[in-house]
Amino acid sequence: MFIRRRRIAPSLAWQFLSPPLAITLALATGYLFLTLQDLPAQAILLDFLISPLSDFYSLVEIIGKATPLLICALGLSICYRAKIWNIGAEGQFIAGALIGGAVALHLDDWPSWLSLPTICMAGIAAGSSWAGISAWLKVSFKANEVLTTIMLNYISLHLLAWSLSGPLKDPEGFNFPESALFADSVILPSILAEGYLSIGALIALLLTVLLFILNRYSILLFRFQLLGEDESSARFSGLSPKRLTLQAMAISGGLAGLAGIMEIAGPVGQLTMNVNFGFGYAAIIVAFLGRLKPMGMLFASLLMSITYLGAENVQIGFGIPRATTSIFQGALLLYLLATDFFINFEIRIARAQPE
Amino acid sequence: MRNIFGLEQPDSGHLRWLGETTVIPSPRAARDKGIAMVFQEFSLVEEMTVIENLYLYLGPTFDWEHDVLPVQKMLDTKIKPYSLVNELSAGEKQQVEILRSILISPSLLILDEPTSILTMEEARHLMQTLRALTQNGITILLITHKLEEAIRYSDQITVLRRGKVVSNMMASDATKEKLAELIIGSKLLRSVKRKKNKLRETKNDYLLSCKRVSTKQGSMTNTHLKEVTFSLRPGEILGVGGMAGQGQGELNSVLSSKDIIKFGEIELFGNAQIFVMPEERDRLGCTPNFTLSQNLLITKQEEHSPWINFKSLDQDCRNILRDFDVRGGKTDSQAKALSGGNLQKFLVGRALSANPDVLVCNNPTWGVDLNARESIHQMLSEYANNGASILLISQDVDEILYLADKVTVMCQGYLSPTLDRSEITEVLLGSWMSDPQFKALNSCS
Repeated sequence: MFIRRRRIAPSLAWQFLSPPLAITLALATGYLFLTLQDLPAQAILLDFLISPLSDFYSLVEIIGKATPLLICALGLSICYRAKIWNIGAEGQFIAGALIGGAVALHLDDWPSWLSLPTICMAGIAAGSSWAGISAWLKVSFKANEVLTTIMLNYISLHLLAWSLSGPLKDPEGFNFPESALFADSVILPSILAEGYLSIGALIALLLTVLLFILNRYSILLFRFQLLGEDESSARFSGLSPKRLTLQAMAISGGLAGLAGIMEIAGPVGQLTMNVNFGFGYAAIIVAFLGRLKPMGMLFASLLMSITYLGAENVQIGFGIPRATTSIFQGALLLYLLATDFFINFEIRIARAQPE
Repeated sequence: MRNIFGLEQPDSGHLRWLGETTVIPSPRAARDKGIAMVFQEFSLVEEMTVIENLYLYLGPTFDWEHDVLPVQKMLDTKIKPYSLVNELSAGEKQQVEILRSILISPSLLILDEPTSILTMEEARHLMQTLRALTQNGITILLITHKLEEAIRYSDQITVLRRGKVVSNMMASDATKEKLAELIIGSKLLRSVKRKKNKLRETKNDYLLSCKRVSTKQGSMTNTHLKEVTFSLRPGEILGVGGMAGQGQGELNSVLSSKDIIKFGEIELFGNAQIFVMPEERDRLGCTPNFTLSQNLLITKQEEHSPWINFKSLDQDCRNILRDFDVRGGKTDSQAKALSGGNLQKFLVGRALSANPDVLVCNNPTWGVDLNARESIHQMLSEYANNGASILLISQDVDEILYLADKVTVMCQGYLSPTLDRSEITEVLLGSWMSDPQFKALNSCS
């Protein structure tokens, strides 16, 4: 008989092994799924994962899509280390996009060097406050943050929809629920001479390095970790869990808000309902796939980004719906959580019990 | 007791029930055999009515008029079926617990410290009721630390000390003095080894003094402090003895945090630093998944704010490991990888390396091996010799008598008068542990 036993210390090997294993299992599931439908599984999977890497345009696109994922995931990892389950990056992302975008629409006559930082700050503040609502509900009424953040996601999405058919609607937009196109002065500059890759990608990379350093050297991040690991210990050492919760949520929300405004004032260029939202949810997978470690999340965000592009490819090439991305992403998270079991547990063959 | 009721399984030996060796795998099995238990902490659903709670326990097979009322009459209680449990007093809740235990017509009824939350009057009433129950053929196993209760109301007394049966006698043969002696053990004479500390007479100030400190009752099972008064001189170890759960935890919290509601005053002399070691090392004392360095960082956050200086942190951690002879771990090993004794040495070392003027420690050698115990005692003793004062809260009487210069006892939230160690006898100590009035015994004056 097999028995499971808790490991004395978490297995380091499994911490590195479980993401690749989860990816393999997710691919195997996809293979099986496609073969059962009599589709050329091998060719499709190649098109899904490899072809996005084959040309310059696609590579730029991958990095561009990975940018908001990565920034959201960096923020989420701070919350998750403190065991605050912020599922609301999506709502905070939209809040940042909406408020930052509204500011951008009004600042088109400012010079770029002044307007761009201002609208980014507006986006950060909006994301922060949006997360702050959940944090406040959690610390004052013990409302579960999982529920409140999810619910606020819907509220912010519909606030955006309302704004786009109301106050922010483009007066010359033939009644489409879209804002006017942003002036060039409030669009983030590209870091490439050819093609468009917003400076946001560079900011994401810098933030990754920054978080890597802060994780190690900042007492604040140590406190978040302590809060997550052992709340009673944190309290005994004189820390206030409420304060830390507010701080972690504010930082996390601020980053999601930044990702939101940089997406709007970057590749998209206007406020619209047609943005491929869902980055906030995908960022949850990125955070866990990357083991909440900055470098891990960097790779995970690139992988997730490939799946978005791959899905477009297979839709064009094989007529498979884009929703396959969601299936693949969902399967990936599921397998990851399942294989994570081996980090803390080992399976042994039970010997006969001594009498 | 948890063994008998099927909550835990014995590692060796066996239980005999009605003459047969049995295994009791679960509380339900215990109930089927006719064993009922009333815990010290209530297991009633607070938001439900009395009758709903009875339904939960007994299933819908009973009738209030027919089944419950006769038992109520027997117990002389007047619980109303539709009152909410959280509106009942502690005594009434207990009556409900006993009521429902009796309704399953047990042959053995176990009660764990049933009178600890009752008033004197309620307690006496309960004891008489229990006595009456035995007339109906129910065997009662009463766990109590109140010597008088045991002598007065029981037939047979068994004394347990540190998990071992030390004595078994008829209640008619027992005296308070005899029981007290058995509970404390007779190591009193052997343990007077420590040299008398040289008190710094030049500086005769109190480092820490508490005057009539009381706390509000946090929850039903917490013992709140009642006008606790004591003071600590430099170089002095004050031992606080007493049974578990008499308010020691609350004393610890009061000294460590500011957010507990308290009355009275706590005064720290000058800029004296106080370091409070939490009571349970697994739960509050350390964070098991963190490395030793990180655990040290928890207490040194001020020093490393906002940036952590790993060089000095690791150096400090290595110093603790070396100076306090912590084995089996390096600075980057997880705290949970260490043995209990070594971890405790690390935690004491961590406390002492913060160099506090007042150290409050709660059961510092709880569950550690003899060698570690010896070295922890050495560490504490040396530290006090250097002029700091230590408040040693411990359930271990040997430890207190070994280390402390002055001794006091905590009982039901009250603190006894402070005595010099030479004035203490085991009989006095033992009887104070169960007597919140702390009467001096006639026989030993």
